[in-house]
Amino acid sequence: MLKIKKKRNKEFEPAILVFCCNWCSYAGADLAGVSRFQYPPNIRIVRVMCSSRVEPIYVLRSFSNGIDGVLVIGCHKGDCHYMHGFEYTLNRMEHLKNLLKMVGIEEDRFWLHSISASEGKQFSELIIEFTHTIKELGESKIPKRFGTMEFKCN
Amino acid sequence: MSSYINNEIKCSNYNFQNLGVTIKNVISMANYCFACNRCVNVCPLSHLDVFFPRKLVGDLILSSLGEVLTNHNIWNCLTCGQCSIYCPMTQENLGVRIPDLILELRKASRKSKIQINRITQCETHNEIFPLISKMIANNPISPNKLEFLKGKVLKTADSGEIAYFIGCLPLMEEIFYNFKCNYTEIPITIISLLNEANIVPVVLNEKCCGHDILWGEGDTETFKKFAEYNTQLYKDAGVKIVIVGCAEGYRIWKYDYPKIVDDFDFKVFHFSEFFLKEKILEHVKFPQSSKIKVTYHDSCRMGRLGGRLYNAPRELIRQIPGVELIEMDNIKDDANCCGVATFLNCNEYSRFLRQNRINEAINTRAEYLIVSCPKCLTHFNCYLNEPSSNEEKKELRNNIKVMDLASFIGKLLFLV
Repeated sequence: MLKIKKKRNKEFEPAILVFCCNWCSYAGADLAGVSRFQYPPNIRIVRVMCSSRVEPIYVLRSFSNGIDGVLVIGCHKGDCHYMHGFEYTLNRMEHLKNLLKMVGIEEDRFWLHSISASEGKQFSELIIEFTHTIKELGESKIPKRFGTMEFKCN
Repeated sequence: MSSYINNEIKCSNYNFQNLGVTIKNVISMANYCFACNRCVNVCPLSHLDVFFPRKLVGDLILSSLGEVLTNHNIWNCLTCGQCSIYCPMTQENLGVRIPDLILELRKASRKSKIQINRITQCETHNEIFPLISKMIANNPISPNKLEFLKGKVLKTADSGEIAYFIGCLPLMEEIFYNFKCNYTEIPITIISLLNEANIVPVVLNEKCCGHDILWGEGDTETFKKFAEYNTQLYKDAGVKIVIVGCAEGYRIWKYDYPKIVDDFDFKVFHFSEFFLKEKILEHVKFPQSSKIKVTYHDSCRMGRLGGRLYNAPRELIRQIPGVELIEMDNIKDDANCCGVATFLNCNEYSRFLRQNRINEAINTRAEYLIVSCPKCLTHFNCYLNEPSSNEEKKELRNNIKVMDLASFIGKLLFLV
């Protein structure tokens, strides 16, 4: 009984997944850590070589596994290590945003941003802002692990 | 009967849901077979040495179910229904009915480990379709898929007698954005043509029809959620007639929902059927143009598995002035499959089947290949747009264009 009461009083702590590209935003996150900018501990960073590597299915799968918010961070437009990577991401994620609406996931649960390697401060600010919006939205309405398929990423 | 008792002992490693009922069903269906081998002669996959329906049915009678399911891969079957047309022991609700038999087997065995491995092997598009259907089914928030109607001058209602079921077309538009199939042209054309005849259809944010989750994975729990949600939504809106724009939705609404929903009292029409009944094409004037030659591909869900709706779409094409319909070699009951059903198995075999059908269409020298199923549309377009250095392949794209029936009419009338 005590345990349940404690849990109720506790503030909701969201689980957030962040996809960072190797060349810009992961370095930006690194800089945020090195220069000791504070940000909430709710995020888990997945490093990908380029933000255009993030397939729509990754985001959908993470929502189905009980993640409350997903953030995809790439380079600034024109700064991509692979020339046109972020433009592909923009195109892909625009369609994904529409898809998420049709599935019935709130718009604010998925953000796309760009952060360069020198923007440590901006990275921590972005994470604070995103965690705040997710906390206001509350827990994801989709029940965790419903299907019969066993997801390989677990 | 001894084989039936054996089944229960030998299948201990298979966790069957409602073991008794489904397996009795399957065995009793298989018992009608007298091994004439006609199904193997017509099955498009048995020509490619992939799947043998007669062998499967024969083994069901003689050996245990566990053995049958390990020896035969039931997920390879296209459930296109060619076999049940030629089977002398199949009638509408009686006899072997191989597509239904495969469906029952899929329902019963889908939770065992071997079968889960097999499903994951043959799933396409990174399992995005079953995942999305499961998410939508379990999500308490209703989906919002009518965004594409914004900014269009179309009249839709929230309650009324006639409803138009959009289904997953806007979803497919977002997933296959690089094919440029323009799936949303289909609902826009249908709604605006209905408006021309002073009919304001009910268009709601319904969930998927659940075709892929039922036929592709045999997942009855999720399917039941879809069926109950959609029928309840339409009952609350006071709907009595449901118009469906795609072949799969038509099959599901007409034949699978009444089985699973208790008091199902909707009249279901394919849009071509409804347009003919209400004479909707008489309300519009087609602009004069030079003669267009088209050919029509029968999809399995509207033909062999959907009450043989062959004449309505053809009649609709003939009503358009300046359009000449040329038939392919194999039509109606004999129509060849497009190669992929329910987004399972995209491999060299399905590619061969697609190639076969496209070549058949090109041989008629028609400019357009008209289909009525969004899945046929996707897969034919996928074959035509394959990147290749082969010059002949590049010429294919100029020879024929694949288009949906509704969006073809919409293009002619400049509606989309």
